[in-house]
Amino acid sequence: MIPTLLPLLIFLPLLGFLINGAVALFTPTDRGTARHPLVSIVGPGVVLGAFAIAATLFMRMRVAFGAPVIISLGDWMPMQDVTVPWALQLDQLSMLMTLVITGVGSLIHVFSIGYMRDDASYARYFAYLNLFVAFMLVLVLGANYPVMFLGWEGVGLASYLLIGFWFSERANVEAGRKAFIVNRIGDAGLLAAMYFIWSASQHLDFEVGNGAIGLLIGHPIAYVIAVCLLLGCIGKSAQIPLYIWLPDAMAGPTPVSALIHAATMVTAGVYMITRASPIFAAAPNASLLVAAIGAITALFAATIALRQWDIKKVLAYSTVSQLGYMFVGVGAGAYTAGVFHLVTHAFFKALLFLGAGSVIHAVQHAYHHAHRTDDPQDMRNMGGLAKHMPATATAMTLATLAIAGVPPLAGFFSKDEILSSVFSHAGGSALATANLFGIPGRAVLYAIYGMGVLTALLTAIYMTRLLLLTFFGRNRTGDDAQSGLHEAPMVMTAPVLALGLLTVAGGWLNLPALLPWGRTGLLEHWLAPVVGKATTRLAPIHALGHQMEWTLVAIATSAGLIGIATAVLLYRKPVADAASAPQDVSLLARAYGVDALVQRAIVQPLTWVARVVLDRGIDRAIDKTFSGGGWLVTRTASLFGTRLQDGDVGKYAWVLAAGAIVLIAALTLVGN
Amino acid sequence: MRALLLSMGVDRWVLPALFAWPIVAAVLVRLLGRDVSRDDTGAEAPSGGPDARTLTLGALVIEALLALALCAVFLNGKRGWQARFDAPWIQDLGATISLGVDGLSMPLVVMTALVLPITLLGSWNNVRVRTPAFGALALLLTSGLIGVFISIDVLLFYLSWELMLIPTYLLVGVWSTAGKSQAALRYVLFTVVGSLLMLVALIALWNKGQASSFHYDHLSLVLLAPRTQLFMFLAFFTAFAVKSALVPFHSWFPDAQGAAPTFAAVTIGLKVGAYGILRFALPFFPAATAYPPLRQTILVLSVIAILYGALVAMAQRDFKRLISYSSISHLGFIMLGAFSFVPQGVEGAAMSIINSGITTSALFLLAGALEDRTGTTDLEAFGGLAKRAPWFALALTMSMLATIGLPGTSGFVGEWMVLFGSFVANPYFTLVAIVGVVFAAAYGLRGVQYLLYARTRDASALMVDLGARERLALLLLMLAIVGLGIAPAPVLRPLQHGTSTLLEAVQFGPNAPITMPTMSQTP
Repeated sequence: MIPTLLPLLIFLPLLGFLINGAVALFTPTDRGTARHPLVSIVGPGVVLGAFAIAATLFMRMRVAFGAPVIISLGDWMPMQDVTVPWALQLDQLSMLMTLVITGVGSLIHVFSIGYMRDDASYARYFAYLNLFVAFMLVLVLGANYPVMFLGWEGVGLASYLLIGFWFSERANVEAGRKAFIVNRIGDAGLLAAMYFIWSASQHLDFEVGNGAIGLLIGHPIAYVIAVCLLLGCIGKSAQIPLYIWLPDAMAGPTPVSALIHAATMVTAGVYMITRASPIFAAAPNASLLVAAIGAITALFAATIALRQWDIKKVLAYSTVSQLGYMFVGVGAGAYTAGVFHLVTHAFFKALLFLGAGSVIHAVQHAYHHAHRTDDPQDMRNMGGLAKHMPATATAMTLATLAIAGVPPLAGFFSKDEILSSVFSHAGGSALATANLFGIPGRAVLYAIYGMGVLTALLTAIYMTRLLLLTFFGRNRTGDDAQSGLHEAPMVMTAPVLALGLLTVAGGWLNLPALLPWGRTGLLEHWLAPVVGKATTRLAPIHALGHQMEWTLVAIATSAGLIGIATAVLLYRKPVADAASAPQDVSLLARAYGVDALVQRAIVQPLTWVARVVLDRGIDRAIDKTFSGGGWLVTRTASLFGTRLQDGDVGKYAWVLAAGAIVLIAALTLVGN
Repeated sequence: MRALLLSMGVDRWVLPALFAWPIVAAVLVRLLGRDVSRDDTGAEAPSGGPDARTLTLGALVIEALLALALCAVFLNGKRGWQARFDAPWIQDLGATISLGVDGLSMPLVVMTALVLPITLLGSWNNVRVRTPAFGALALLLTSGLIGVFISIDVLLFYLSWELMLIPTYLLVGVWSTAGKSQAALRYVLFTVVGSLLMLVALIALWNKGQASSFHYDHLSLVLLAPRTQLFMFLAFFTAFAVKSALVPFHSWFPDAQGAAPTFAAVTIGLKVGAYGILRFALPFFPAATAYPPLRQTILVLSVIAILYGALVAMAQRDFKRLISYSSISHLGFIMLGAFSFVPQGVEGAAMSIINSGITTSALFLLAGALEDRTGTTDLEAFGGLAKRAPWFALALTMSMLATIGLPGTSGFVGEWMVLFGSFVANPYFTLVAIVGVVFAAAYGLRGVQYLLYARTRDASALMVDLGARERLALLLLMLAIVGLGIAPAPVLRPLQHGTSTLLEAVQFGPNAPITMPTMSQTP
């Protein structure tokens, strides 16, 4: 059954792409495809179908729990003695990812019916979104690096197309292009990693290849491979220094931000590190690097999120920050914790984005009715929306509490598990004895723990700020527009509420052993066949006493609560609306000016070199040299030619003889 | 199918037919074809007969069917030349009309024979004047191109090589965009200088082999001192490098491609020179190619070509020049693979030649469509075409993705294999070359963005979406791009045998160096 269902899982969304794409292509542009009934059925339908298949597979796997199922659909690249097969791998990790992708994906597809219904490119939108799901499934189901890489670059393509979906605005297209190019930097690292893996293990598949390199504990090649893989993950999961594309990616439609730039694609890096956990476990120094990059990114992005006014920008930096948390988890050898946070984050961040989408939708409509062109994404134009859209407000409040780490919501459990793992691994593990550029691992881990707690505090602050500015206080939309504010239609609120349910219950997936009730450590148990070995290699024993664990829980929880309280105190005072507020030029609002710096230090010099030095300089020079040389030769030749062709037969004979001698000499002398 | 074709004796006559048919057809097209432009203007009474373009297309389709027949009778597992044809020619010189294909040349013949009619179909209205002459020249050029791939008599190869030159010169010179006919002359000068060098080396090689035969199998067994090999290799290499526009011999290339009518631009872009290197320069002079300073130089040039081509492509304002420089960048990958001497690398190089033929054709068809409708290919004159011309947008996006090597397209397969093989042999060069992947994304998406997205500009208003013929042509090319990207095995299988034979010649041929560079993978 698995060999038929698994390919079908991928082909369904692909089919959706083809059908919706055909609708988009064959409908005359002036008519548009808004509310096209076929698209409304096929677009979400195929993803729901995929979810049904995934659920079936899951039920089956629960019964027969065992080794990964690897199926081959034929050869992709046969090259002499090496063959890359089209192989798919279903194991506990890819099953979990598939459920998240198709589950959250279905909800977001349904939401999109409402959100995008009036867009003239409705069919094109669903085509791209289906394409994304297909590639994302290839990414997590591929059984070897090249197949995974197909999905990896494929989701990048879908992301590029969707960020620039409204392509009439130059800025949107630029954002898409930036995302693709920055991601390609990471992809180059991934390419290099594949070749290193091949040369070290003679395999490209996960099972054997990763396993073989996992045996090279402490060998430099393991470190090199891990760092190359990490470069790829940094690009895709928007970590420092390649995070710069993600905030710009918010130019895409909001459901896209929810699906691609929060719940699924950006977590591919976390998936990859987990997938390659044997390699990272063999290179503890590289694992430390992962955790350190994650912690720095988490803190850095959280500070920026404190001072953003665009509701989606806050969420974007929040995503970067939370991805940093996941990196801390998988870097510190707590693979289950990292993946756990990936799942819960998919729930509450997708909710936050969809909720934000509903809000933007409402404000946009209100402005549209009032014939105003104010920015519908600026939180300074919101406020007091709770009474207009109660369902959305409730759900988003829940999600905010979850991300802030308030028990017993999903985010609390996953975040707490990451932080307590870091703390306990600092106490004693392979990581504590490793080092990061000479700094002892123990110190690094304690620092990471501290940064994690600080980030938790900041997270609570900026998320509460978002909530307060959007839903509470005085309304700043404008008196004329205010009457146009309405709750989103059912098709949009239902997915949001469903995600709200998951946000509340998601933590039950992996309850800590500390609790006296319920089945604890479900996810840990589930993922053990995949990451168990790597986890034990990096951190053999869980050495914290109960007392210590309760203390850590208390610290994490109080960080969240203090953050919420701080935000309530800070942002109670009324805010001016966007039009009357002066432009915010603070360092944080400009995101530390990194974009401008990259533009000035990398993009502009490179363009200058390409345009001035290479194209106008060297290329013209080469051209001139050849043409000049050619001109010289032809002039000389014609000079000789006119002298020679004067009708003197004797001279002709001499020239003929000389030519023959030269030719014969050349032919016989060369090389003797 | 194969049995049926064999019963018709296809394997005996298909190669001479592939070679001679376009020449015959050229005469027919010139004599029977009707010039459309004349009855459009009414200046002259219709000369009767069918449209010359239709005749040309028909002839090219027959050529493509012949190539498919060749593909059908070809046996992947068999070593050596297949579908051989031998006839006496110039007996005093020992030259014969010897034709044959192996796993390396067969896929290239099929690719060329399929791409050419598709190109003509897609650039139907690109040439509207003197169409009988155009058709005849295009067919002569086809014969030369096919001849280069199937000749196993090196003198015949040389003749075919030159046969490509003259029609191309005329095609670029006569039908070029106004004021650009100079480019044709430059093309000829560059190529002629290169091929004369090759001729001298060829005669010397023939002389060394007792002046008895020009046959490939004979010449590849001629014993040569390493120093002789070096000189001869350089002569051959220069000819091929100039023809395929290796940096720094590339400066004629963007000009010629930019000025040429679409059909000629595509044929100029076919990487025949790279095939020449794989077929002749490597197995004839293995000691020279293994000579470290020379090999290092070529590898450095390849890496430079990859990065330089991509960076300069980033700086272009003209769409056609952007395509040309991307092609120059691709040649770097091909050379990197060819000179890795690792099976996967060489095979990847051959695969990249095929991919480059397909994507170049698609991109130039699109550039031609743009130029025919609006009179310009200046990137900054356009914008927002995705809205006005969705088919154009789809085709452009897909061919550009193949150009930048997105997995799932044919571009990825070749590039991946090249880097794979090259990494085994020269990891450091390869790591630098991988950076080219990032620049490729930069120039590719820049082209796409300027044409398709943002606000509509002046020239965009003149743009009409692709017509039925263009759609059909591009659809076929898109199918090839995706098909070869997902299931490249039908092409890789024959290439696999072709390249292993080639590498055996390099490793164990009579001229092979005593100490070879490491062939095995590093642990």
